[in-house]
Amino acid sequence: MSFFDKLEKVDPRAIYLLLFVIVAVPLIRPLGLPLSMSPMTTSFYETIEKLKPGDVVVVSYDYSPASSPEQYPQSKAVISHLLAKGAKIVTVAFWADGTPFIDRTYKDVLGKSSDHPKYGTDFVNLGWVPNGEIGMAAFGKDIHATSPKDYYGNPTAGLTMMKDIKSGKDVKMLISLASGTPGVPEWLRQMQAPYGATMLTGVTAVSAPGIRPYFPTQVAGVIEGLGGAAEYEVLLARYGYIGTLAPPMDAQSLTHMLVVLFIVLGNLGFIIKKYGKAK
Amino acid sequence: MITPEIIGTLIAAAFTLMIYSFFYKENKAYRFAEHVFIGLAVAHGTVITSKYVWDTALSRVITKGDAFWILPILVGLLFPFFFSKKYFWIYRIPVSMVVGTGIGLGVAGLMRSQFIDQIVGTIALPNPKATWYSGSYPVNAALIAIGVIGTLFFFIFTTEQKGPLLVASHIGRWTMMVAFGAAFGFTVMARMSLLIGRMQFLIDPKGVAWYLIPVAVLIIVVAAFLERAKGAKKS
Repeated sequence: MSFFDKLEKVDPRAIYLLLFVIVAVPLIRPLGLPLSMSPMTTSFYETIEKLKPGDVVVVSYDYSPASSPEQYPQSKAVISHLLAKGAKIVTVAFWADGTPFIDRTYKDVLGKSSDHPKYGTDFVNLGWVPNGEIGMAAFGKDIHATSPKDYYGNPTAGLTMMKDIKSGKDVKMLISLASGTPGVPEWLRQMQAPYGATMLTGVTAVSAPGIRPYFPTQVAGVIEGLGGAAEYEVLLARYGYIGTLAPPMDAQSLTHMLVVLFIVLGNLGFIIKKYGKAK
Repeated sequence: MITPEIIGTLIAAAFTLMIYSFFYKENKAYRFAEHVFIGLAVAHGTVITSKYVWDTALSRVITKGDAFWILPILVGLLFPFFFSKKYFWIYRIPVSMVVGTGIGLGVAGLMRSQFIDQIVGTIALPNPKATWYSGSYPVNAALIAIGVIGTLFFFIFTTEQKGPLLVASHIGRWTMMVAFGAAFGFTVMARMSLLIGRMQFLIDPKGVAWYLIPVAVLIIVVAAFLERAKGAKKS
């Protein structure tokens, strides 16, 4: 039995084990592998940099815990950047499971959420809005009617900053942290196109190829998966933001090398066996 | 001291390991974790939806006497007819309203954002002053132009594809293969990210989740040993 015959019969569980080890090693002892910068992440950062203090930004959490390893680091970095720029942040979720991440982000970034002194003046958490695209259309039309109370039960109309933010017309920028439907295409249809808000997005790596055609004409910047979040953390270092994604990106690079190795071995085996038989 | 956070972390770690036990083989622990996850997601959805219905509609009817909201509440109450074989047709009323509204809104915005704006985006000249612009952009733009035209030619079925049309169609096929390959590559990246996220949680030395790793390994080793012993007995 040749090497490639043996390789074909390897127990998949051995590969899983190898994968676990490859992931665990750089997490325990980071390797410091280099990180490239994508133009989409740079554009995301530069677009937020252009915001003026007081500009209204809607951040929509359109993801669930399943994609949180990729999107929660994006959320933390984006909210930190917006707070540093002095933007008025309206956070909302169109995925029910994404709602708790809003509160968690503010607690991780500011140490507090609804009990923070700037809650209601600089940022609000409007919680979940149901019905996907229909909800987005309603939100754009009348924010107060769609979200009459915030996540914590306070009347939206009673929150200081919300007195001047009533519809999509008052929104300068929309950031959708999305991993599926409803997500970016729905926001484009219901907010970016009708109200002209500048749109940015942070997506999972799975969704990224489907979102790229919108850049740069419709979506001004994209953070793609864990890699994009790591790039964004590097850009935020000038604000003193302490990133946490260098070790995970080392693990990501190593797993990719492993996958490439398996693909090369698999193809080599296929070619050698095919031509071996032909002889 | 055992705090609620520690208990929560241990429960999360236990469920993560139960799910990952599927890599060894399908088992009851995996099934249990899968069912609990689905149950929790449904429960969370139910609670959060009820709260929204209360905040948006019911509280207005009760506290302000806003009778307008009675109508959508009544329509919403028709959804549970899904569970009745006899009156299933009633369930179709709210569904048709939601689907109809969704399609109406979607199609209205679709023409602009996903048709006209996409064409404009494809043929628009790039702005060399943009931050994302680099020396490679003209090459990428040329590739996109060739790829888009080729892909469009691939889907021309009204005439036999031969000569230049066949060449363009082949370019389209290659473009799509590259696109599918890139999509698959991104999918692998996303799946690895999920594994990395869970592994970060499990092996975090500041946390307590890793306490359960040796326990899980021990359980799998014992299960494998018992299985092997069972197999040997049968043979």
